Amino acid sequence: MNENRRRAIVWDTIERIAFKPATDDDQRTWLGAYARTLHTIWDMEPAWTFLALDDHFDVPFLMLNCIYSIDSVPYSISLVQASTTPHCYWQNHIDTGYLSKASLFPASGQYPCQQFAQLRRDIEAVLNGMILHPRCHSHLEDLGVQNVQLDGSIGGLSSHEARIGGGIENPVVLLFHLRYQFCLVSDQARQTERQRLIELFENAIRNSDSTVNARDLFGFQRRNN
Amino acid sequence: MKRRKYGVNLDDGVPLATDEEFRLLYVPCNTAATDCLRDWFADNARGSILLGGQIGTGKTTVIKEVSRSFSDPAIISVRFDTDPIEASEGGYCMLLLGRILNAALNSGVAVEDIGISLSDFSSVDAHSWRDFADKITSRPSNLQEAGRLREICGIMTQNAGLVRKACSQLLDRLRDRTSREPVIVAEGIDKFSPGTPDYFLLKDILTFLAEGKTLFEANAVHLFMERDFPLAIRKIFIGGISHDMLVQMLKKRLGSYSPVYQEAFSSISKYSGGNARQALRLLNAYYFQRTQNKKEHAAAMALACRQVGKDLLSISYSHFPTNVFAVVKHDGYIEAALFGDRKNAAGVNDAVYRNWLLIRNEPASAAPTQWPAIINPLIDEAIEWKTDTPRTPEEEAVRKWARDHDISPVGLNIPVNESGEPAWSKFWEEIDSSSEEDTLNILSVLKEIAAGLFGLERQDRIIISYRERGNLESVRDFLVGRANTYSHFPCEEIAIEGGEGREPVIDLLIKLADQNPNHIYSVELTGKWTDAQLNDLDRRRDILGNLQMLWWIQQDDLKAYLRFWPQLRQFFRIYRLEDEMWRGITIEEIQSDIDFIKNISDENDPEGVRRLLNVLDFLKKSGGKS
Repeated sequence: MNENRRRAIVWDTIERIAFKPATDDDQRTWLGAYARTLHTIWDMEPAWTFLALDDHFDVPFLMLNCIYSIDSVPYSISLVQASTTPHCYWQNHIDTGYLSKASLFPASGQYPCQQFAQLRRDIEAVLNGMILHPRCHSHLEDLGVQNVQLDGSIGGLSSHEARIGGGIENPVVLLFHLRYQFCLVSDQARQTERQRLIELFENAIRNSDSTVNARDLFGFQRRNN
Repeated sequence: MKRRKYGVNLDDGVPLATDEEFRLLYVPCNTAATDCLRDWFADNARGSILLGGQIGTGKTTVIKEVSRSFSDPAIISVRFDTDPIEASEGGYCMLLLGRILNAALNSGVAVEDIGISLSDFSSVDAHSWRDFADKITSRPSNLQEAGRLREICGIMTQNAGLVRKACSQLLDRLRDRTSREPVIVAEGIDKFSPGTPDYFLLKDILTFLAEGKTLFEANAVHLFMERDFPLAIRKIFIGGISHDMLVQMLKKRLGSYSPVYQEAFSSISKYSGGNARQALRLLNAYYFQRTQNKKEHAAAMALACRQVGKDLLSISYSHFPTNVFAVVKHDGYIEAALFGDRKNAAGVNDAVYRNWLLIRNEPASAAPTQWPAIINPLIDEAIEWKTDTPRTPEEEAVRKWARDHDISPVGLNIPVNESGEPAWSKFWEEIDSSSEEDTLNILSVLKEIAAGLFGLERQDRIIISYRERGNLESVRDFLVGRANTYSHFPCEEIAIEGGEGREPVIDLLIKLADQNPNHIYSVELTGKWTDAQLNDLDRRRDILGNLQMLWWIQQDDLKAYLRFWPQLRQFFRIYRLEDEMWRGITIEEIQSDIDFIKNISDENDPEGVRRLLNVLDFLKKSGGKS
């Protein structure tokens, strides 16, 4: 199987098993884990965060508020200035009543197990395009957000490194994508998350798992004492 | 404590302990003191050191930083604040003997024929000196064991001289065996306020230890206790931290995010008065106001000052040395003689011991009795001194916000009279009345304490006071249940009753014998604690270590207790529950939390579900939202 076909399968598989919570309960659990791990990936202190299907969360170090609605079509996600006179920088509507090229032909078939040696590289490429560095994107300063440079001496990144993907049709993928893009605390933290996701999906695809649950997707740790 | 590698690491100013903490967060603020101590440890000569600094200046961290590079068996660490079974001469002797015995036995020293024998202490039923040493230095696991140890304390009190002589012999033998002068690190002397009965009972031990090679961890006020230590003892003073060092410390705490909050650094440095813990607590409170309450800089700073001032300093206190304050404000220093002066000593010692006055540096050689000092800025800033230097626009902005919102301790503008003295009674009145209004519902408390309660990287100690007890179990279950939506946090429930004829502190020691930093400890204080019990608890604040704790205390009791707790309150933040505490909490939200834990957990009977089901039951019985 050629590389493009393999990667199309990987793309659709990842989206299907991790980013399509089926029931209301699944969606709430997905958002619950999302809310409770934002601080982990951003390496900040935890705060009480509850997220419903239509809700918002803060990105305090960028003075941003992310407002989203994924309860019904059209879905929407906005980035709004966190201030007493909020200014909307960016708003994305996802109207699934209309076509996109990506929605026309979901990849069929399973990843060819005789080519598992290629799987890791395929996943890396897919995660880059889907979440980490989408082909179509805007940098935060292009949207008018004030540039923030975190402390580079310990690996902190500039807000320029936050790439807001323009063509993401799945609102759950879009939320996951934003979570990663706002991880500016250090390049190493991004690399760690990237490796974690690659390993997670490599195992899931090799094992033909039908789902990656929210706990594993977000690295939600429940310690046993 | 596990820390974040790149991001934010805040807390209420607990000493650094692990290698990871030193690597990520340590700032060499006191290089002269650390160099001096390092040389002293390395040197084999006799001679003791009195390391003195006010509360929160970083003494424990300095000692840890130095001692972690020395793992000599001849270094004997004795914690006089937390480890004695009781505050008596016998209690201190027993601890010292036990530690020295252990060190001697570890080095293969013969411990027979030291003037005391095991049969003198038959009640502990020890079959060997090793067993005896272990038993008298371990925390009791029940009241019976505590009783037996107290019997030994009684015997040791009556024979304190003999015990000290035995210690002396063991130290001599240890020196002969290791060819090295035994070093004793006497930690926790700083928790003994001079003039208190407990300090008096410790004096003979201090004198004995000073004759050898001992490092005393003391408060700044002990440096002025000429009669308690030999005149020749070497004194090292740890004073205020410079602005640059404080900024480095704040930057490290914020990690990569430090540029985002750097506008606060100069204010935090100023309002901290150079005190490390006060700076860290201000940063903690400021960061909370900025990130969680979305306050602008000036508002966040004013609110941070109020929170920290309330937690650390504010009490109505009759010995408040107003005349000394006016002099320090005017002169910028405090005369050493005042610490021993019959008229002023009690007030001055208290003011320094409780951090109302902050000593900045050692005296200059030209004026060797004049210790540069300031009034704690969290008190000073409330007063409209006639002679103050002009404030920066930023300071004015913080004061203006505080004034406009009736926030103490900054911006109160307490007037001074014609002789330049402020109306102190009005000051305390304002502080007290502003905290009266400071009540929170449960959701607000949860927001305030979330960073510690939900986090794996920090543990906080929280006092929650209430007017009517009501169903506190449900409040506790709500907080613990919500914490369990973040991770698995088992909760240990502890009730401690104080009062005449009771032993609440021993009881607490027993219940905290097996400490687990991943647990939440819910501690309810009941009964009318005696002054001695409150003092004992204050001195033992470090047994609470790095535990996540929720303490529940009735608000009038707390008000009476706080003045006994200058040490304990250093590690606590205090919140008061409003009467309508359940406001804003719905059955649907609790059910949603329960469902989440069930879906995310692979435990059979998750603690969070059990706790939240209790809350659900309570809410249903009380009519939905209560």
